[in-house]
Amino acid sequence: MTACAQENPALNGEASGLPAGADQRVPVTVLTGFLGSGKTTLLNRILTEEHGKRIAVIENEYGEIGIDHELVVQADEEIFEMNNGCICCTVRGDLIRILGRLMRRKHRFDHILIETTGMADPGPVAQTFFMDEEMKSKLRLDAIVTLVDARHVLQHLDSAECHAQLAFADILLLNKSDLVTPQELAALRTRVRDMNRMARIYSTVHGRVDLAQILDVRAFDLEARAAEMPEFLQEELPFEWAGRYQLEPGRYRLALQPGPDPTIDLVWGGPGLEAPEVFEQWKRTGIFLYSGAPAFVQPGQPLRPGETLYRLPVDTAQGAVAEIEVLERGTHVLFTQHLPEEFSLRLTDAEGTPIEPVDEHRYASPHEHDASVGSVGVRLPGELDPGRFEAWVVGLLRARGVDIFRMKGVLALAGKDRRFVFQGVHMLFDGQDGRAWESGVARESQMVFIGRDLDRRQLTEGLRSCLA
Amino acid sequence: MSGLAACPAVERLQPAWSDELPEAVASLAWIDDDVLVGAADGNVRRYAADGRLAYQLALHSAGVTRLQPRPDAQAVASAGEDGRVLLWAPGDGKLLAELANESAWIEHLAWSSDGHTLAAAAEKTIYLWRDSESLGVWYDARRRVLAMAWAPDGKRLATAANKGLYLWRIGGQEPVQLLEFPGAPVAVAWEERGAALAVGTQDGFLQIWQQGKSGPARQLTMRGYPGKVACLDWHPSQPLIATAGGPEIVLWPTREAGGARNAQPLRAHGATVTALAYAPDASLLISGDRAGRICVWGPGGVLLQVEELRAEITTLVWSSDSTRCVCGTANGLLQLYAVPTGAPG
Repeated sequence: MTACAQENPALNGEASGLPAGADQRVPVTVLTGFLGSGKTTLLNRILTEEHGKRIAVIENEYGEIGIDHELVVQADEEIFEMNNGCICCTVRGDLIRILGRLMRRKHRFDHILIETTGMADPGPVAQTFFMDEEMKSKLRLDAIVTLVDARHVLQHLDSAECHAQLAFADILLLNKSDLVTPQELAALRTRVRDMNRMARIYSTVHGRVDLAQILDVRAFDLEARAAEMPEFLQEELPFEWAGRYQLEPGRYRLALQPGPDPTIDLVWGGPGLEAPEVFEQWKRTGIFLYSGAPAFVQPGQPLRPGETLYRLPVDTAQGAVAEIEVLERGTHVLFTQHLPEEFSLRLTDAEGTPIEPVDEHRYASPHEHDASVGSVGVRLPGELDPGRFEAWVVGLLRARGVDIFRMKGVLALAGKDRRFVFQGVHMLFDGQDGRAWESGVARESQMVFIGRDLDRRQLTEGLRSCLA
Repeated sequence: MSGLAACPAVERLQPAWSDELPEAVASLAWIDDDVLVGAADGNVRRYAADGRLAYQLALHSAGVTRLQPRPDAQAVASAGEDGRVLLWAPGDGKLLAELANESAWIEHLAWSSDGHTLAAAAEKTIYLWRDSESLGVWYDARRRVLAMAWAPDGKRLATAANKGLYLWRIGGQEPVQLLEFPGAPVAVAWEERGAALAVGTQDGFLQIWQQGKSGPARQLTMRGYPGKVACLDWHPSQPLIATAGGPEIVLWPTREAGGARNAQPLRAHGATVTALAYAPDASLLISGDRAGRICVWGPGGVLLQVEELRAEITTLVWSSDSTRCVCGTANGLLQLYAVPTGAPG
């Protein structure tokens, strides 16, 4: 099943195609990256290495493959709008024309490589393989591989083109990693990971990567993704900060200045967090609580450590003050939805003496700060109502499809004994049944959105409204 | 089949000869009673009327895209993925001239009906020749040529570009825009008398520009094709067009009131239709699909016959006397069908 959000998607869970093993379609790898990121080096390696594959390459008009290869076709980016009322439904006319001709052959190619420049929008390239019936029936998009020049990427990391390149990637190669320090590489990895939580990230030198890691990886294959998706949220938490505080029984005050949001969601846990494993336990409790319904804090109502997600109103002029009531001595934890500095958060005792945390942990989500490209993961226990989910996704993509570059999910639909695997490119989406739910496993749904100006709360609440 | 009972006079097309080529059949043409084949490996072949191979020549270094015999049958033009346009003698394949040698694939090539002018197009440039003399180029930096066709008068060339249909006149330098529409064209075809032009688009629309008997031209639109409308062929004598953008063929009488409501669907293909052609005498319509099925349709859209060639049909061409039809597939199969003598037509 493939559908555009403008049309009826019919979320009936029917298999959209042949099982992976029987899929005769030719895989397509899109290789993208800015000038100087090492694309040509990697392309030449792919073409010269002994892999026994017959590969056709479609390179952009400025490409410069330096070897005599049996088939290199130059393409001039040509974007066609699809007149279906969907503003982001665009395809690459040049690719349809060239690939159409290449596929009408007796001696087929085993693999197609499409090279695009860092300036080209990856959206139309990806959509070509879902929107054009001929392309869809003969070819399957295997993966979008994006090369990043580890040394120079920071210079244009804030450009819209660079964001799109990173956001669309299934595989990110941090190339020229030998030209930066390990610390710089780690920082870059964290930065791009925050923008795109779905991608596999490899550090490379001279584009040296095991080709099995980038070719025929079925990154766009829903069935294959289903197996690995349960962990795809592991690095993301619904709160951005956790601080451990050593507290005596008594009353405390939590003061916040006006911040970017009219409310902030908090969880107080403890005591007993001296032990790391208890901290980890509370983290999991926090994740669970943050996916549930929050309790609004009434004026004067004290917050008590425990399994409650508090939503504290933050006045745009006055900020907020909340009383904390601690009953037992020991190490407690405060999880906050936003970073404390965004609200100048301060904890003081009854006398007004500031109390600093013993330590703090940051789980920053950059989309909250720079209003640019980021990923939002949502995990929701329980089962979704298929009809409500369909209506929500269609509405969401109609309104935000331009900004949502990619979307993937593994869903628990009511009445289904299999996972429903789901992915989208802008307003197009596609879903099919995945693995069966094992008995004894709690059903839950997970989704990851990658895009511009994503609102975590809106997405979380939207998905929650689909619960059966 | 009820269709046969309704048309007892029509006999089945008989498979005549066939051949298996090493690569896909990309383009077919008739020259006198013989068949010319351009293949995806760059080779050109000529078969005699009885199926005997007259010659094979490696004229192009990459796939042949179009073979176009000059209407007087004294020369053949061919274009290829090697960026070349060649003019050669049909008798022995001897090269007469290399008309162009560009870097881009040349996918569009057509003689004007009077045989005076040859046009080829690649990217944003249209090349023109008279005999082997260049008449210069038409270049439009704003528009890439996606499809083109000469008007029956041989003086005007219609080109389709993203979102529009244009008309160039020999001697002129700038095109006139005939139609504006939102999509990207994939095919264009003139009605036999030159009074209408049809454009099929990537997003499943059919647009028709129709010259009024008096007064301004009209634009007709038919939407709702499930895929790109890549197959178009006008009926040889009636204002009716056969179209396909999916597994259905749609016949549309364009002069009748009621517009697209009068369109008639023909259903017998299980896969997307990839080629269709009316016999020049209008007796039969033949169609082929991506899975290799060939359907033959009689007057009124009656299904007469189904054949299976088991690989995507790339091209179907009738002989000018409507007695034979030659089909090519992506697997390199070449199959000739003959209309039994004594059949109407």
